[in-house]
Amino acid sequence: MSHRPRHTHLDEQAWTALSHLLASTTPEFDARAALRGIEDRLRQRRWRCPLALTLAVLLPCGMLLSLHLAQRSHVRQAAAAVAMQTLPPSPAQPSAQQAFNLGRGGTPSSGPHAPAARHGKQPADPLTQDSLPPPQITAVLLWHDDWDQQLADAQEMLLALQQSWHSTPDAAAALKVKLDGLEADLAENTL
Amino acid sequence: MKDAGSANDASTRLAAWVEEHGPAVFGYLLHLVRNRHLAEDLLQEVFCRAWAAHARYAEQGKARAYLLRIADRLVRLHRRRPVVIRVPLSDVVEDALAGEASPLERLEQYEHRRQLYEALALLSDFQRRTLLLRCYGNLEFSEIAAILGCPLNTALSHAHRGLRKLKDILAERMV
Repeated sequence: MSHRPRHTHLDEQAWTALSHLLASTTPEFDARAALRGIEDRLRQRRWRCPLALTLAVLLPCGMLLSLHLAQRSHVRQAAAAVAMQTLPPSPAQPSAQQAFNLGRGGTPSSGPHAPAARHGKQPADPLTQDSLPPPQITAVLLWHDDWDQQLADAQEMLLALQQSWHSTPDAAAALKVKLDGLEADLAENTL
Repeated sequence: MKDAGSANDASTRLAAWVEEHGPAVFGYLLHLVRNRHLAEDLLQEVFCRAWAAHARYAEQGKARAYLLRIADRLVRLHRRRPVVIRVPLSDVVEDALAGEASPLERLEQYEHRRQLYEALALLSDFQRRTLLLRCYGNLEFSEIAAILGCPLNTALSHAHRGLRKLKDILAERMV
């Protein structure tokens, strides 16, 4: 017995009727509007690609770069936060934790009489650079409807980052070069 | 200059592509998601994805089948999302009220469209997709089976039963 499909001749009239019915009930397709939307999307993706690559280069440099959806005002806050984080910690001033420990008599593990201190090594303080992760950068890109404004904000933020890193040349000399490239990408895609 | 020229060529090709296949993909998406704005959004995504990889499919077959396959996959991905947007039927068929037809004709159009949407909604998912792929894409059943990921006989069975059921529903409602 052959395994021939049972429904090889479907009701052609029914197909035709259904096709006509669907065609007559489908709203008119606006090809121009659709094309505009598609081209916009493609353009945005072309922009995102070099940015994503540049950001990927930054990651091995010890920086954690995270993109957040945020309001415009958060850009300046993020830049300020970065500036604070990239400042070198002051070694002369005891941390709050050290002050607290000293104030209550100190403890062998954290005070100036701790074993590590007696051997000439400064103990790791939970609130100073020994325990802090590498400088974290929070780059905030706006994600609202105004794409040009978003780019302008990103450029503004990058400028702030560069200015803050000028005060810590050892840590950021290489990064600055890469940021210059990133800014160039942004400027090119803004045009 | 060469880059600008090739960019123009690409833009022209994309425009022709949207012109030729856009209505079929749009109709298919619209009947599946029942939301014009969502259908338009998905349509843009379909063409973006297809355009980004068009060199790969160029030698393989029909562009329309390729586009409808992407559209079908996107709709299924969209349905897996936790947020489900319920759109009133009146929003889907509101376009019937536009145009130059008389008020009576517009009312009839609206009613036909509403009945068709409701009837399609009563079919199984496979039946509905099979009928729409056949009608909008004008695809062979082997191509439809490939998109749906099922054997040819299964696709034929879905088409046969779906068409019969749709006829029965519409006949009952339009009496």
